[in-house]
Amino acid sequence: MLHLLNGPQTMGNGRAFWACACLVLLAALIYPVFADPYDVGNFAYFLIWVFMALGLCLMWGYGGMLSFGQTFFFGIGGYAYGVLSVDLGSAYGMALGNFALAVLLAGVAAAILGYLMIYGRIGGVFFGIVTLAVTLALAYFLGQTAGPEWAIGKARLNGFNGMQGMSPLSLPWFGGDIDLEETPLYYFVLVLLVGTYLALRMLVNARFGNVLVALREDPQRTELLGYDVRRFQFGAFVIGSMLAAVSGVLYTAWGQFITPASIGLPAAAMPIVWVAFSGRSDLTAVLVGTFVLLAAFQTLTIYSEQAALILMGVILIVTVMFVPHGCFVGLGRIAAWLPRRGRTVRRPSAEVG
Amino acid sequence: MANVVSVTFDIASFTSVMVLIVLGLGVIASMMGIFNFAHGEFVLLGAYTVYLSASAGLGLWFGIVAAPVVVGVLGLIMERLIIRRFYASPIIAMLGTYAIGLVIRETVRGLLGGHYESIPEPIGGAFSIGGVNFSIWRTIIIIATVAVLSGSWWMLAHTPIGLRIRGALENPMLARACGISTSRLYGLTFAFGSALAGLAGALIVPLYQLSADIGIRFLVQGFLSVMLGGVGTFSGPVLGAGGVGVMASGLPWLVPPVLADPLVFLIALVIVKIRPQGFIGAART
Repeated sequence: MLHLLNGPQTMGNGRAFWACACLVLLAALIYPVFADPYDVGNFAYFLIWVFMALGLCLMWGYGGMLSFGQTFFFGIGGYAYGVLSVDLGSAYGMALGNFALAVLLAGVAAAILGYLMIYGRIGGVFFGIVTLAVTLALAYFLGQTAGPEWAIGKARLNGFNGMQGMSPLSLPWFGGDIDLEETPLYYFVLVLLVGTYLALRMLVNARFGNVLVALREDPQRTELLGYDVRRFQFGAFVIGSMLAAVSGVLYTAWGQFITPASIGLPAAAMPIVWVAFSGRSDLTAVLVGTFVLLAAFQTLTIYSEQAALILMGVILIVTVMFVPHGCFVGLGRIAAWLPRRGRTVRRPSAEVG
Repeated sequence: MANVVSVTFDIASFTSVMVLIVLGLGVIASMMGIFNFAHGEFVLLGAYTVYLSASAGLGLWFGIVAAPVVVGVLGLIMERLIIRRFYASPIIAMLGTYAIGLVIRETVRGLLGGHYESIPEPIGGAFSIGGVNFSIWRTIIIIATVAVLSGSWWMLAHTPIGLRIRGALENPMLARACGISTSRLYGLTFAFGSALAGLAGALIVPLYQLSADIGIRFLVQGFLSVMLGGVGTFSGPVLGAGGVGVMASGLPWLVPPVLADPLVFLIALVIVKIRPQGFIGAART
């Protein structure tokens, strides 16, 4: 199994890369010792969004399906977690159960939507438009649920102001649950993220990932080679969407609120900006790029939200015009090229259409 | 009876707004194969032109005449500088135009200071036939839509430029071989589509308050219309816009308004699932 961590579908397969990765992980692990809990919570907030970006990277970068629907599943996950934790409580490990249920629910939604689109042969631009339409419909709908009649059990949806009052995640432990806030939440998210990242690396370097890349390059050829491309697209879509739901649950648990604004535009386009900017064809690039962009965006938002959004737009225009493969994939290629200049090693080509 | 007439009039006036907006979107999608995510912001720019003209003391009518010109020229500049690089890959075009739209929208939001501005109707009031009141401005919008539709149709069907456009639409390679500059034609088409958006924005701004989000509410419905009608023909997107317009304005009379918006999307998606090539336009997808 572990040999799948390295392969043709991921950048950074050498010893140097893994040594760097271990150093970064070590730094991340000891970071809370030196920082104050507020900053650690903030750091965790950045990591929360990366799941969603990785999910989009899987379905868009590897599978060639551009989905505007990441925030749709983010919203389903977040709202489901909120409703479940208000109605079922979070004692005795129930919080983790709610987490799993919410992600599962988003998975079911993704399966229905994915079935309609992928088995209905909606592809290319239309895939983006349909997912955007569904996402905005959910955002409009939730924005209009202000009245007291819009409640599931005790949980009121609260319309445009969003849900509040759900409990944070908690781990069952001897002698009382541990509430996951700030530093404990940071460690929880970090462990989850490292696990997800490694699992995705194995997934894309396995047969599944190879077929996915093949169908991104040429669906017809892949089909003629005997693969049912729809099954692979469907799988990638459901997995990617469930990762968005993971982000949604963690976000809701982190701030103990969720609003329709985190579903509609411009939120729906944000994951696409992160992934396009970072380089959609590689998981590591998306991981690093999303984190950097989020940190930069938050720093700017403190001064002016409009300026930050305009800058996002400009970054996206510049990226798609001049660096279509993405900035961090470009950096990664330079890094991979530097130590090999002296040798005549043929690099495996990793061109992306 | 009077009630039915006035509801029908409401539906007709909203539908003509949809048709006006979708016409520009559909022309660009059919010709160049790209979906202009900045179309809603072109509508916004048209509306904003009227606001600027009114606040500069030039009057509403000057703004309404100037809006399509201003937005058309802006569209032409954008096509020359940015959009033309995207024709090869429609998905990248989607991102690029979305980004342009985001920049325009947030800039206008900044210029408006986040306020909602009311623009009065240039000709207010209503006239009544048989005891039913009709808003004059909404009637003008319906008439303008019919005029623009028939004008565009006439241009496509009966003029030399229309012939070239149809040629480039049918077979771009062959058109180029015949000495038609498709690159120039694409620029013109984009400018024309943008101008239509600008005109739509200028006409509808008295009905809705001017805010930075005036265009975005129509964008997704516009895309659904184009999908529903099918790309590649003149009548497809127009019919699609008619369908979506009737649904979006008619459904709130039948079901609770909260459910109307999601229901429109749902119905449109189901139709698209049944007829993926749209109502019309099986030839090109």
